[in-house]
Amino acid sequence: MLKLIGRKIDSFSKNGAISNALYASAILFFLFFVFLPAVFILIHGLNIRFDESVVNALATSFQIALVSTSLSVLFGVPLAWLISRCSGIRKEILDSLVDMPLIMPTSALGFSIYLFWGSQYGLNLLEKGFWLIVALHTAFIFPYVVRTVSAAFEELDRVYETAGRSLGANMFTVFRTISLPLVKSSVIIGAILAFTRSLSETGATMMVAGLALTAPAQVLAYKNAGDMQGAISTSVILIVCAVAFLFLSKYLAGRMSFSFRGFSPKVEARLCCLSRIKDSAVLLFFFLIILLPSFFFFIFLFQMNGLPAQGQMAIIFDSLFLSFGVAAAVTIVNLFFGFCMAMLIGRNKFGLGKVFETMNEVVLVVPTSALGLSLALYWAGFNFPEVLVIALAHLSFTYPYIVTPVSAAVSQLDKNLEQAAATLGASPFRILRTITMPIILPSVLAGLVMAFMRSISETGATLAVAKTATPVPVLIVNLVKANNLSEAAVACAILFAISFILLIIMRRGVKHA
Amino acid sequence: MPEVRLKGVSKVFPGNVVALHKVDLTVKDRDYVVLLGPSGCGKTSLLKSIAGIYPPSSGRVFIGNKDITCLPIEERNVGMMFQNYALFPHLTVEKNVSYGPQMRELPPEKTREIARAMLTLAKFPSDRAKAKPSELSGGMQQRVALARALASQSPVLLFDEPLSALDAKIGEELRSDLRKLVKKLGLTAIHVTHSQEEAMSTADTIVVMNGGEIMQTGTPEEVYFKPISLFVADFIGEANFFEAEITRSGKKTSGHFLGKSFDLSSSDSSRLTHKANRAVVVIRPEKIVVTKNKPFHKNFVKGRISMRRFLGEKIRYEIASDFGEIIVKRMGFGKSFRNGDPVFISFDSADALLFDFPADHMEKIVGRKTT
Repeated sequence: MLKLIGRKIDSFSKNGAISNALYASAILFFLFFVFLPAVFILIHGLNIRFDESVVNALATSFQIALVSTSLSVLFGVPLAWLISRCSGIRKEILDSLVDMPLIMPTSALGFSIYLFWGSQYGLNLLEKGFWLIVALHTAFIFPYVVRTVSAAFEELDRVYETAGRSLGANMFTVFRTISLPLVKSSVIIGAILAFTRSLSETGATMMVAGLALTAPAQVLAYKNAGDMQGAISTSVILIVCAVAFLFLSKYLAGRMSFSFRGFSPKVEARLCCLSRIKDSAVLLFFFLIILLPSFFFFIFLFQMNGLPAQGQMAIIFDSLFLSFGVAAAVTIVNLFFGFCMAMLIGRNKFGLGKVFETMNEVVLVVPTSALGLSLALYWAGFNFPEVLVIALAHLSFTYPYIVTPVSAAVSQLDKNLEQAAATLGASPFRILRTITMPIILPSVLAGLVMAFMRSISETGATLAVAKTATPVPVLIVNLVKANNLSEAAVACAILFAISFILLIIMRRGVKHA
Repeated sequence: MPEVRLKGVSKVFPGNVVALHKVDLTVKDRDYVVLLGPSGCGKTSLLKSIAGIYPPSSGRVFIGNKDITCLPIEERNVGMMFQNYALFPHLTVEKNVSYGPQMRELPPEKTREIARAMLTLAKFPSDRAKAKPSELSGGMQQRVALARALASQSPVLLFDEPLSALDAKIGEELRSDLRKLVKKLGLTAIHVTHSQEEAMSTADTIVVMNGGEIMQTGTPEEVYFKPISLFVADFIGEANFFEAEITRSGKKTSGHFLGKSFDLSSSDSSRLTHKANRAVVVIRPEKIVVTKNKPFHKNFVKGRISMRRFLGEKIRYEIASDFGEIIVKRMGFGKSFRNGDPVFISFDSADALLFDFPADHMEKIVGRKTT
């Protein structure tokens, strides 16, 4: 039966109008459900207010993003180098450990970090406030930097290193003058990604913020206090900054060069001997500052006596059900439209590839609480049920997570393969089914899981549109705020377990594909 | 001065893959040596163990009297040209070439001077010195790679398949430049290639390798006309291989192949076991004479031209006899035969080489069916 349908579509797809209709629907979907809702708030751009609390919140956000991004780059680049240069079991372990904080929903992460640094169950070193937020943000943006940079180091042909050494350069000089400059654009991209993630994180930050309100948290505070003008002003400035930052970084990545005027091979040769110390310092940072705090709630979990009461568990499961329902629905819808959009971008159809790619990136960097507020305003006239509005918000910010990897895979696909299939008599849909899809499947899977996990763990956008509904991350934030730590720990553990299983499925799938 | 010596060098990769097996090799000072062999024969591993990229599993490597087996790459002072150039993509041509001198902490003026001089030597147009490698053609990139290797001012140069990525014509031009330059500067060069033509046209000494071992070391003439084994005879150039029954009476040796008996008394039988009665007779195609009329001596056979290919300086014939096929190459000018012409093929017994019949199947050794 399926085969029959497949064949019907195959013969149908020879008609160019069908594919054009698909592309058109993808474009309309993107514009009206993803892009416009995300930036709708900018129409209030002329009517914003700069008062002290808005400026203070923005300043706090930027300071935190700057400090935590700097820390991540400082320790992340050497760690990425270390990972790309070791092999076997050590590499596997380090590689998986780096991903761990990434799969942990940020609200769970925030809870764990708070327990470790700020509560009497852990070190009790940091008060709620600036430095606790920095500790949190460093933990969850660190993997972005390490992942991006280590991928670049992996891809870098080792022959450049060998060539440099055959010309008499020691390891350290080779790293400084050859390897690092060659991956500089990845370092910049990783840093930008980390910076924008830090700027937009809301839920976990609110948990550990105390009085130091960041901009996304301020948006929600204004909204809850009924001060819409304040919320809109902060959102607009936040969006403008994030987008400006995106374009600035694109500009810089192409132009900036690390110059290396000073050569002092003898001094650097001596530095080479210190590499052991450097490696240990980097690993120590990773284990003590990133990994241990991120997973500290497990230790707390074992100290607990018994599970929370039945009624509490029911609330937790209701929230889980809501979260996973929304995530599944949103991912399926985005898979279809996102895939068409990815083909359009990857193949540069109608010459619009670049335009949509950039618009996608804009959606990606818009801080989610600002996005949520914008979206609430956009759909305000329709009187949709609350769950639908939450789903629409999630639709918008998870969309780029599918489009970005898939369009990259499509554009890297060797065109000759598809042309070869065509010369063998395959129709366009058949080529898609039998050639294109199997090759780009790992990227599709990666995009799917990323979008799903982002939806599950998102707090800011949900809080901006929701009134009473509480998906898990929001529940965790509420529980921690109400000091119900054991309930929060259980919710975190379940959320983490599910995310972890998903990650394993994805890795299996990618390997299998 | 800088003689390169390898003593019992072995290289075993994880999974027990033997890339080199107890290789001994001496490369004399100012010699241009070419390591030649099919892919996977160990020639690149050998080069890389000299460069320090693959430390050998056992054995020692010397340059001059210095044991460099355990030295890291950067302390070996060998200039190397890589297969795909390995020019640093983020640096200009000039900066690529001056990288080596900079590492030796020469003053900037001196560094620039060396870079310019080396680029000129490598015939790189000076007005393009500020270009990035990606803006250059393959041939130009290879000239930069050469200049960069020379700029390290090392007496030993290593070339890892330097011409394999280039167009045939540009490759030919570059390889003669390579040799001229090495000779002019009095350097020692070790060059890896799988192309026997490249080896022939550049080498003083060819080292033929197979299966991680050295098969034969000699001048191009030696490896071509006096191959030490069937493998070398087959790998270098084209040859006819005939399976023969050997009979001896007094001083006379004759071999039975192509359906008749040939006099092989003056053939080179030094590689044939004493009194062996089976052998492989190897004759180079250009040592076989094709005539319209019956020759005066007895070493001939009748045949018919089955394929004629004009190759420019040579014409290659495939000639079918009743008992098998014979390949012949004659000069490309003057009178020639056409397809289907009946001909007589003959050879001088001194031009035939006799080898022991290989213990395992013939096809394995020479990769071709013989008669």
